[in-house]
Amino acid sequence: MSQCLEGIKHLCASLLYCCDFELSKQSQGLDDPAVLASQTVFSVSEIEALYELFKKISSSAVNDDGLINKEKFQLALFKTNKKESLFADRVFDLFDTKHNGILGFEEFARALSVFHPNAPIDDKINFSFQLYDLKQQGYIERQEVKQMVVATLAESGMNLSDEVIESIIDKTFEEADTKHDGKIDQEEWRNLVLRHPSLLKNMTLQYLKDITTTFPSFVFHSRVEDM
Amino acid sequence: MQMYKKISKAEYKCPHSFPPEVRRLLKRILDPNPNTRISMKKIMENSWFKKGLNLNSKQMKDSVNPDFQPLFEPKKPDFSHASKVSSFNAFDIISLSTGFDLSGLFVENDRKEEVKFTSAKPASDIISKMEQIATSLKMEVCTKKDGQLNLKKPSGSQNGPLLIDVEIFEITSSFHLVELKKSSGDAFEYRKLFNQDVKPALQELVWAWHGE
Repeated sequence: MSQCLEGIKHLCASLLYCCDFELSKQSQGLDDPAVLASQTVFSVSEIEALYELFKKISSSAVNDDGLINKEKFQLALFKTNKKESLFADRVFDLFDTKHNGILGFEEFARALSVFHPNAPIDDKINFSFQLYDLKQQGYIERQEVKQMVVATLAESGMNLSDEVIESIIDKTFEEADTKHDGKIDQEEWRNLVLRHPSLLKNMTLQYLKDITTTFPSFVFHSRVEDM
Repeated sequence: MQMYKKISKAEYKCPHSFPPEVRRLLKRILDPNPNTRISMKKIMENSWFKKGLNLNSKQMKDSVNPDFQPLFEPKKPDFSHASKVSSFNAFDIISLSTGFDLSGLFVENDRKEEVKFTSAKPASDIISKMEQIATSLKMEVCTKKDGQLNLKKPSGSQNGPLLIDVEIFEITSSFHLVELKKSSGDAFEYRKLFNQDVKPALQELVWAWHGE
């Protein structure tokens, strides 16, 4: 099936190549997809498709530096840059491994690789642990959990009383905090998640599997071999 | 299934040998409505019940406590299949956050194949409404297990029948989260069905649509 798509893609690409030489120049921003592909779970054509998505998100009338800043990220996620979100901030920070407030394509691709359905579950477990560890202390504190629960409930318009929220958190910690030290460390998180795999639901984006069809990249590579 | 229907309608037959007072007592005990159902205390006062009952024996005195209502305290009848929906822990709630849901990078909100909404209605109401909607759209309802429904619509498309999964989670006893997603079938057909028919019909149940 994917070979069929590849064939069609190359056919279209070669047609376009004949019609418009300009198109092949656009991929100059992407140095060597094979390198990134070998270091992530993506195939070369998936990297190329991801690059199309990256270009879409990073292009803006105001700031066309070819990079994604927090505002563009929010815009892409929520379709509005007016929405502040504790969680989107966390996600952005984790993507931004160079800690310079902007995402280059490499950071983007490497981070999204963890969300691919084929990515190793340990990567997903680690990423999600870091996501929830708001203060980055190496453990998830009760206070951090409460902060996140309250923020999520506010987002969904649900008003639960403090009592109810406390009891939900109590129940959760009872199950998760097996060492009874008031915090959830990486090991306890791992055990919790292995018992409740649905907690990692957000760590897998099925859309990444179909990315080459959603974001076809019309670039003609004569030498690229797909694994 | 048939048995449950009979229980909820109090459809039963007594053997011919049962005397009328027994039938009368049984009728009041097997009342599906807990508000009109006979209480333990009244059973104890029933003349047939008292026949042969030796309240003076120590054993009886110890074991029988007419005030022992709580054990038989009427609970809300829940003969619908979703009496036990899975409940959410704190991290389940957190994972609901739209900030953690990166699918927005790939699709517009109205093109997402999985939608969620919160509801302040009890699980049994949600299930009956879903069944009602399914029937009106000529979809087959298969209940997989507590809190989960599978709706099937035969389709002419080459992708096969449209299958929609509905899952209900309890956040608290007064708040539930309902998740609807297409598990197979044509995406366009699903979106059309959902936006035109399912979503408007669900409005009365919905507290808030997730992500809107």
